[in-house]
Amino acid sequence: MADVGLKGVTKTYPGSVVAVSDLTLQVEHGQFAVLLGPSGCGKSTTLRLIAGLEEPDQGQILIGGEAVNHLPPQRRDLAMVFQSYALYPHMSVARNMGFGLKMRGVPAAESRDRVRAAARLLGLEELLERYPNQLSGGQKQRVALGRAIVRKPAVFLLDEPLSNLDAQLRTETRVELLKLQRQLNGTFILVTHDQVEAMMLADVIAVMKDGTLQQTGTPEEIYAQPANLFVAGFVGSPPMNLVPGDLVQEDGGYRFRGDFSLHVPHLSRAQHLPAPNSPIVLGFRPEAARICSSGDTRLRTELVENRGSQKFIYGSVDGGQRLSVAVGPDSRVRVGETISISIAPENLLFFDPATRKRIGMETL
Amino acid sequence: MAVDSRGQQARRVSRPIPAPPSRRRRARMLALLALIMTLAILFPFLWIVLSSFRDPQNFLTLDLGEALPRSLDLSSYRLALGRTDLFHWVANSLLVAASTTVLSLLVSAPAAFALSRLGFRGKAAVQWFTMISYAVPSIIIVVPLFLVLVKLGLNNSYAGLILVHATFTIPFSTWVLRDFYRSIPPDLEEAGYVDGADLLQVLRYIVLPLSIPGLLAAGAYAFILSWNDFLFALVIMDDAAAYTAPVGVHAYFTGRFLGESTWAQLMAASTIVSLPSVLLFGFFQRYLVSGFLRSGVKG
Repeated sequence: MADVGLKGVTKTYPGSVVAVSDLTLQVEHGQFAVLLGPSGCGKSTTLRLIAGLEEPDQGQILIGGEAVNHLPPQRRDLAMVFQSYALYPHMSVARNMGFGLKMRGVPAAESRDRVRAAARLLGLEELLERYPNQLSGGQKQRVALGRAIVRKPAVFLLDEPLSNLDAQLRTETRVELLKLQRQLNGTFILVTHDQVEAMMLADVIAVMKDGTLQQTGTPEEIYAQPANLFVAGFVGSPPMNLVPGDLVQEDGGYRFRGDFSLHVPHLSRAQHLPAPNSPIVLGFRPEAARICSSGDTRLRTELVENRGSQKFIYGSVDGGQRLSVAVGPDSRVRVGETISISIAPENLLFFDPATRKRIGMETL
Repeated sequence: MAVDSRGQQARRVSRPIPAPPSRRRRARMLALLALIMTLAILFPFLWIVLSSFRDPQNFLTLDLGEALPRSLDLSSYRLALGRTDLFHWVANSLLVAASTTVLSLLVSAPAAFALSRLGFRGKAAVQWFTMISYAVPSIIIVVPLFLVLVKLGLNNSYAGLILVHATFTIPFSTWVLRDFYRSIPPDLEEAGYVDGADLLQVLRYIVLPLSIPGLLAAGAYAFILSWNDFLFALVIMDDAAAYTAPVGVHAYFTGRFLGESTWAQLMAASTIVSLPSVLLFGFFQRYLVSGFLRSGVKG
């Protein structure tokens, strides 16, 4: 088992396409790290760089504290689960799982035992003699996982391993994956564009965009204190409400003025205040707002999304700004209705529209 | 058990659904058209085979009733094999065709792998020349090639003929195999590397087993092309003992008075000479078709 570090890693593809730019990231031993971002953000390239399938143009990749930049994949002690599963079509499940052991010179008898043990762990015992084309998507996925765990590598790399599964199987497999990681106490690095997956699995999330790291942190940090507008908009479903406007001082605090106006108390305790009247973006999660008759913001309901345990109301304020608000499952708000909402001031975040970064002035 | 029942279900689902009448009629018309075309293409070959079994004394009859042999008369085969060096020529052809096949696979398989997987300077030019060299009609280059062989002292030698055949089979095999390798997902090779294999092990355990259909298609094609070649073998081989089968048959029967019995022998000899490529094609037909389909190149 080992930690994985990237120090100032840059990878450029022919045609000057910068896939990963000056990436510094540390994944501790036994951590479940998730690289999260939209497609084309460089997360898969990062995984391939760690695997040794790509060579960085700059920077250092460390596994277990040792620089591995020039080691080919076969000499890095890691396993990878590909998005396509990449099972060898001409080999049975048992041979697929045992291939890595064979390549590393593990004696046949020991290899058989280890394959059987891994198969037992993943419920694959009945399938060992089958060929990949005789397996369902979920079974293929488990064989790919089995091929990874049978070697007991230091690091497990998983490239969107759940994206080809249907919704129910995906949820089940997430739980399995988490159990497996705890059981093996392995360093897992998973790539996904699915923020729900990331929130559920990760000890630490690294959010990427356009080849650059936007933020690393626990799922709670990423969700509650996004470092910039991109993370705020990308993580969360529905995403954070982001409202452009400005801040002016008023008695007993500040006032945010945008498409709607909001009193912001206690702001004087915060740091890094922007100059008065300078533009600012207000951010708050849908669950930070609640319906109340004395609320100072009026919202015309345009859509009610029922998620069973929760409902989301989507609507727009008088100035046109669209907002989403989380309400309980029993809410009877209808489309077309106008409601009053109030927003908890302690959950307000502010962003600088110029730098797009969050301003360190949480109203706590 | 659950899996078995699912398997059966899958089979049930895959049973063809009856097509509507208009589509069925169209399908029947197409099948009829295909049958007519197949018969038209096969007719000369069938005629040769049927004639070879006919009574040699009655060979040139115009009576269609007599055209079909009443019994399998093997006398033409006995004469063809007894009076000519057919066995010898077939052995020569076998040597040339087998060597051409091996040489062409040895060169084209790695070349195709490189073209499909590696980026290198001049790759586009290599691909372009490979295609162009296949597209040049052989009659145009027969004399230049012969002169080159004379310069190299390789005329009238198997090595010379094999090299010449390889100049045609290598480009084509490379093309077929390049597209075949492209159809193998690179993920599989990468999974091999991550699993601990080096390049040679990836080639041996992953790429090679997966490319067998492509290699069979490319190999069968090279063999058939070399086996059927008449023009180059005729120009390059002077020595009667070194003739390949098509040239030997041609040399033996040319200039002879073609009486009824000689015609029948020619038919028998032609049948024997055609047999290996027909058998090979029949045997590897599945791979040939899939190989060409994947490559997008027609034979």
